[in-house]
Amino acid sequence: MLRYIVRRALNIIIVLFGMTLFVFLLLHLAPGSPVYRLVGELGTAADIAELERQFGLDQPLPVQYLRFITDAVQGDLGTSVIYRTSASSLLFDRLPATIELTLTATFITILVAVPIGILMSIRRGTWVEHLGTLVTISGVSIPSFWLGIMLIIIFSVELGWFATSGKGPPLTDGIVLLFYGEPQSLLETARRLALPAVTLSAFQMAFLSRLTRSSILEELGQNYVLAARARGLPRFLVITKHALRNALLPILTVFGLELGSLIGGAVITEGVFAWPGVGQLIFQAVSGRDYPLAQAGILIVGTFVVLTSFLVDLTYGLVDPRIRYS
Amino acid sequence: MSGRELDKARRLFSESRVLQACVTFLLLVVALAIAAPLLPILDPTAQDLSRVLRPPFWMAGATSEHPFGTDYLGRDLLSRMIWGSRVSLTVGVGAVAVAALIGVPLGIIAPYVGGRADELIMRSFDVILSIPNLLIAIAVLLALGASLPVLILVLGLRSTVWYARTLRAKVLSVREEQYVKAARAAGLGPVRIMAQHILPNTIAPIIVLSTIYIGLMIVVESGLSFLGLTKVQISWGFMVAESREYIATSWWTAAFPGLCIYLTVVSVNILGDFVRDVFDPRLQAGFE
Repeated sequence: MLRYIVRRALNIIIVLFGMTLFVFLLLHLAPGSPVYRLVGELGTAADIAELERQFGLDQPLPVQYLRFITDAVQGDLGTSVIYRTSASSLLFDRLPATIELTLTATFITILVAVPIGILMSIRRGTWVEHLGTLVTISGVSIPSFWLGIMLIIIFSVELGWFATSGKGPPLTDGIVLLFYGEPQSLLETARRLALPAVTLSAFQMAFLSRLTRSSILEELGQNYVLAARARGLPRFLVITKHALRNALLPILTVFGLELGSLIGGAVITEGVFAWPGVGQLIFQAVSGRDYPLAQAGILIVGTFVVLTSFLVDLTYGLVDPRIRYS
Repeated sequence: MSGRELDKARRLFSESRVLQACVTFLLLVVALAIAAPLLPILDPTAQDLSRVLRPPFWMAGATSEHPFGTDYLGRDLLSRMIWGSRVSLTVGVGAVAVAALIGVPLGIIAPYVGGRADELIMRSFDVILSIPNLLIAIAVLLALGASLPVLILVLGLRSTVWYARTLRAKVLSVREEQYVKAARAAGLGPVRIMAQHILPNTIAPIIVLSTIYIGLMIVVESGLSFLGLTKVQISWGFMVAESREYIATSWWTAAFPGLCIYLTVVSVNILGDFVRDVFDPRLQAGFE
């Protein structure tokens, strides 16, 4: 197991290295000097040269890259043009809100998608499967920004059940207060969290249901399932206890990879719901052309994705010894 | 396509009303997009501030001139939706074409040749896949400036990875087949083996992947248009973004263009499921 962890860790170092190189090159190979945006329209050639010297932009590219990396490792990802403060501290302040949103979305996804997938595989060829197919194919096809706006129109504007935007008190506070007999805080949190969480999870929910269905169906063709059925075990038990357990591994693998797109999707969802997270900050940075902030955001989200997939990988290693040794 | 697959396609198509409806809808969208300049519709950019936010035909206050209503500048929504389809279709098809043109040769040659280059390519794929699709596109559009060709290239190049990965698995298994070994023993060169024996085996996954990816690319493009990153004047995603402030009073301005995206992508995905069912009998198996 230790060798497996070390090998995976080396791999993510290579990936992180590649990612910083990608973002760095994009920033530096782009047409026009980055300081143009700092000096604005009125800057003279001398101003630009002076700023380039200050920022070390007159140095050769490899030297600049080395500085970029050493700064990044120390948590310095540049300065936001809009907010005029450190990009990394801005982003880290927003991280808890994004984690709250994505974890809730993941929770909803798993809670809804796995049962739907099982149901679709049990009830093949019936209206249950047809309905499930329709719902899941809609889920993977619907653009999240539009789904979010439609949910706001229906549930906030027309019915008034949920808030249109913003974030309530932290979810963890709400849960703690619930045990002290004060559900108000949790209700307020839910009133604001429900719509963005559902919007963000829609694609994953549909995707995971389809995946669960097809992996279970694949397992159902295996001999051990036929043997269990031949011994007279009820079909429901064979599916939940035998097939699901073996189907879980491919489900985990693909879902682990998909977590990245969940975090990426947060950019749009948080923008639509004015959810004060990393995604909304990137959304603002993009629309306000705040390049340093946008780039820092992409680096942090990318690192987050890489670390998540590392954790998912380690989990497989624990669940399935075959993976460790391959 | 073999005769058996053709028979199966014909049977599945005639059985499913939903599929027929989707194909009809897609043909209609493509036809309207191509014929947009010739159609007797209003100018999609003509503003009329005396007729802003008019509702669609079944609601009170509608005018026959604007069957789907008007937006906040009084522009005709129907005409804008027809013109907007051009961006989505161009990006969807364009990005998939880029991905296939680069991904297919890469996915066949790299694993067949193997060695250091193959290893390096797989490693760089890991890097590319670690950054979410949307964020790569945002980063590149910000750095290189927003334009449709850049967008098509970015989305296409990123999807190249999936083509190469999918084909790689196929190539590695086909390479060990008896008939490939026989061809090699008979003295055929690697180029002929790849072109004549390996490529035909990869046609089915290429078609399946391409259909699914057209839908995915349209969704990503609409998201970027919504963020205002594609710099196109008329697109479905941007139309939704423009009407965001008016949803409390005029829901249709956001609902209709989004519905266009949704219906188009659903149709493409249902078509994709059909194509996969035709080519991949394994997914039909299972016990009952």
